[in-house]
Amino acid sequence: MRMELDPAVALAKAAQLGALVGELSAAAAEVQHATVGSAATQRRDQLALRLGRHAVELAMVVSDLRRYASASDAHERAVVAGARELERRLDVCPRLP
Amino acid sequence: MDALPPALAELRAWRAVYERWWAHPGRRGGAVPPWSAADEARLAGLAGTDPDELTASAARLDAVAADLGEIGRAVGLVGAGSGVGSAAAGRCLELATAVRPSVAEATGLAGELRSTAAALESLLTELAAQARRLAEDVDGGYRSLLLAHRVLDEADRAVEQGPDRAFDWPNRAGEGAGELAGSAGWPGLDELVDRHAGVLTALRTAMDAAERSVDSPGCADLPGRSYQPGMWLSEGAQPAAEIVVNRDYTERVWQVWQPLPAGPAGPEVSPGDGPMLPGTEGSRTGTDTGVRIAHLAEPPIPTVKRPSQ
Repeated sequence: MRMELDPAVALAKAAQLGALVGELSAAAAEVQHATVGSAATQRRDQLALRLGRHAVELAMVVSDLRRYASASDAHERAVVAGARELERRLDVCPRLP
Repeated sequence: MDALPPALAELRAWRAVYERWWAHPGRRGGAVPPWSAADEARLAGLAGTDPDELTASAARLDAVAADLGEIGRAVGLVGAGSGVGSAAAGRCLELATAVRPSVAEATGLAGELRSTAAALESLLTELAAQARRLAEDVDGGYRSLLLAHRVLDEADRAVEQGPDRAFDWPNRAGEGAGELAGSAGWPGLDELVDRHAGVLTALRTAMDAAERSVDSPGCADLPGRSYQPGMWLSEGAQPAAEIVVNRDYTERVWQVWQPLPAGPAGPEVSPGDGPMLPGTEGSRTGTDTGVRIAHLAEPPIPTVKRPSQ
C-alpha cells in the first residue's frame, strides 16, 4: 500500500508550523500588553484575541499532522511486518502440484 | 507637567476666596463654578496617560504587524507546498488569508496611537502653560489670602447692614469704590473672580480637548466632528437593541403589517404528477449550462388572524 504522505516530511512540516504557533502566541501577548489608552482597549483586546485564535487553529493543524504522521508510520510498519509474515508463510507452504 | 503641582496648590489655596466672592450677592459679572474634585480627577486621569508610552506601544504594534505578515507568508507557503496533505494545506491557506486583516488592524491601531500621542502631547503642553498662567492669575492680584478674606469680611458686613448700603456702592473703579470698600475695593474681588474664572475656563477647555483626543483615537484632528455617548464613530446612529417579541412589539408590528386582502384564488396544486407549468429559458452566468426556471403556482393566501388581546 502506498501512503499519500511521507511521515517524516509531515513531521518536519509540523515542526515548522509549530514554531509559527509560538510566534503567533508571542504576537498575541505583545498586543495584549500594549498600552493604548482607555478608548482603544477593547480594540486591542479583540486583536489579541483574534491572534490567539489563529495560534490555536494553527496548533490544531500541527496536532493533526503529528497524529497523522504517527498513524502513518505505524501503518507502514504493520504493512511491512504483514508482508514479511506472508513471505515466511509462503516459504513454508508446500508447493501445489 | 512639572509646573502643574505648584499651580494646583495655589488654585486650591485660593479656592475658598473664589467661592466666597463667586457666591456673594455683591459680586458683579458672570463666573464659572469653582475648581472641584471632579476637575482634579479629570486632570489626574489625563496626566496618567503618557504620550511616550503610546508612542512606544505604536512601535511595538508595528513590529507585531511585520511579524504577522511574515507568519502569514510562512503558513501560506506550507499550505501551497506539498507534504502536509490537502486538508492541512487548505487550512494553512485559509489561516494565511485570515491573518491579513489582523496585520492591517495592528498597523492601523499603531497609526492611531501615534496620532493620539501627538495630540495628547501638545495638549498636555498647553495644559502646563495654562498651569503657569494659573499660578500668576489665581490670586487676582491680591497676593495675600489674609487681605482678600478681610475685604470679603467687609463685603459680608455691608450685606448684613442692608441691601441699600450693600448694593448702592458703586462697584467700579473710579466711582468711589476705594472710599467705602477699603484700599483694594470690591472691583478687586470682581477682578480676582474674573481672572480666576478665566484660568478655570482655559484649564477645562484644554482638558476637554485632551479627553476627546484620548477617547477618540485617530479623530483628534477632526474639529468639526462632535461625539456623544452612545454614538458609533464609524456609522453614526447606534444599531437597535435586540428585539424582544412581547405584546407591545406584536401590537406595533400589527400596526405596520396587515394581511393582504383576499384576491382571486390561484391555481390549486393537486397531488399526482403535477400541473404542466410555463417556464423561462435562461443560462447560468459564466457557464454554458442552460437552466429552465419554472413558474410555480402561488399558494392560496392564508387567512391570518390577529392574536387575541
